[in-house]
Amino acid sequence: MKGWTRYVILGAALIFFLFPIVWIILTSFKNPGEFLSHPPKWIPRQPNLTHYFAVTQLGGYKALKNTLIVSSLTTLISIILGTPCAYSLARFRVGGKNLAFWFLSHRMLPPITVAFPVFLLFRSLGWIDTYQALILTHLTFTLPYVIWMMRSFFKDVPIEIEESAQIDGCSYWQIFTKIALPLSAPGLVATAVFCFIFSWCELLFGLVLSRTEVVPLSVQLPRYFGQQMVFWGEIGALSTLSMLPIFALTLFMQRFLVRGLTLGAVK
Amino acid sequence: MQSRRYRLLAVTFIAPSFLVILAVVIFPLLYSLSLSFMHWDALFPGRQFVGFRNFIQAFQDKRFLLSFVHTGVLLFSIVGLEFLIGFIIALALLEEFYLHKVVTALFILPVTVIPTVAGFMWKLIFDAQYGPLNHVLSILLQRDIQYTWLAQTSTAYLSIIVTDVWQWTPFMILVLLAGLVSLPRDVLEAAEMDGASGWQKVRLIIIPMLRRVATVAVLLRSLDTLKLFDIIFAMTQGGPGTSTETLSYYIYRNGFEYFRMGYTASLSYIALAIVSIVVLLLFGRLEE
Repeated sequence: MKGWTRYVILGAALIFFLFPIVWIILTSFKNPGEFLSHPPKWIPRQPNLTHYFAVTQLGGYKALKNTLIVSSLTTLISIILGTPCAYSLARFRVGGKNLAFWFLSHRMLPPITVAFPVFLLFRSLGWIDTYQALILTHLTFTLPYVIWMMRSFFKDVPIEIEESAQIDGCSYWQIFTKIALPLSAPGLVATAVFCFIFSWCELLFGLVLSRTEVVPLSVQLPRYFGQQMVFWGEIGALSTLSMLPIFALTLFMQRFLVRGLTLGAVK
Repeated sequence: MQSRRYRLLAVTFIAPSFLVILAVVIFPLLYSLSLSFMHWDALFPGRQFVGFRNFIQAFQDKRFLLSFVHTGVLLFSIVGLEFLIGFIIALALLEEFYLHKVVTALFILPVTVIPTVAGFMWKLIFDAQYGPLNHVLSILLQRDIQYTWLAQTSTAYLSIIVTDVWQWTPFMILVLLAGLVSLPRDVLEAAEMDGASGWQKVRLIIIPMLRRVATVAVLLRSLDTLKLFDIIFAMTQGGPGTSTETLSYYIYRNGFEYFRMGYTASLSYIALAIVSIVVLLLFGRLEE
């Protein structure tokens, strides 16, 4: 594709894909009179942080903190449990390809099929509105993801390196920690970032398993959408806060983005 | 000796993950399976074994069957549009230009937005009184427009489709671009030498060679759209009426609004069966 058609297409596409983000960020800096006006005011005349302060009173920062705790711990546990498992699948060939697929298949389940029985079980354990409830359910999609992705990254490590280490007298544990892990470190970091983002964005488990104490961002935001009034300023502020850390993380691992999003099918 | 330690290590590496999946997925699913054969309505005490009655009831439940239709309509329009728009933009991004890297990076942003947030962003844009869309239309049409996009079935669909297309077309762009970049240059150059037009190159060379990558992308998107829940929850809550209720949303309502426990369990098994078909298609195409 050449010439001006190409730039027209790209220009229009950029406006379409960036406008909503710009609009919600602008809204977060507007006075209520500006976003509750008809026709709307596009640019805030006196940009201010009122809504960022207001959102602290309304559970916004608690939601941010909860999401941060749940996403970090989910990521950490998934990596610790999933990485050795992936290595075993890749190198020791336990269970062959079928076991790898068995693990992966849990990533594809419709969340509602798990959320419903888990809700009943956790309710009888008294685990509703606890961190462990959210983290354990988030593991249902992050752990299979880590296992599958890391298996593919471990397979990329030339097997000759590991074989020669074995000849030099390294134990399997040493090969795993001193050779395989360092060589697939970039993949490990990218996988961890993906886990973090998936957990950060999750809605259904949070919706079903949190009440007041561990409410994550995705569940807190709809609460500003009242019957009588919509707190657009607060929605804007919290949305902006929810986006910025993820944007920063994404830029760091652009190189792995396609591979991570396609479960390794496209490199 | 060596092989025993080898096997021991192999199993110890796998066991923790295996047990976690067993505890948080397999066990709940088995529990759910047992519930699916029971009549258990939380509003009335007691449960009772009823065999396949819940499943039979499901296939006579008009709302359940309609939720399939809604999901299907959304699936085909969303995945179709995302593929089409994604392909065009990927083609536009194929050759280097000034700021190429920055532009490509900007396209990534929507993918990483929390779907609930994406739903609210667009809900604000579509807002009847305060939304910029009606404002722009008012200016273009020279009269005051206060159209309630989410209150009419057809435009509610349109709004959901636009939101999902906004969020996930960038995924298609990136994947198809990765596919395009890896195409052998010499084939395309040879076609150019032979005088192939742009459209001929796309139709006869690029599309056939991109088939595997495109199939994976389409299957992954179909899988997600089949489970569509988040933006429905944020934007329409299944409304107006029940006209945008998707499969996942209807199951959610049965479990957490109507408290029909046994019925919810059997509906979720039907959903599981359908999703499994796409999963099996996808597995055949992942790696090797």
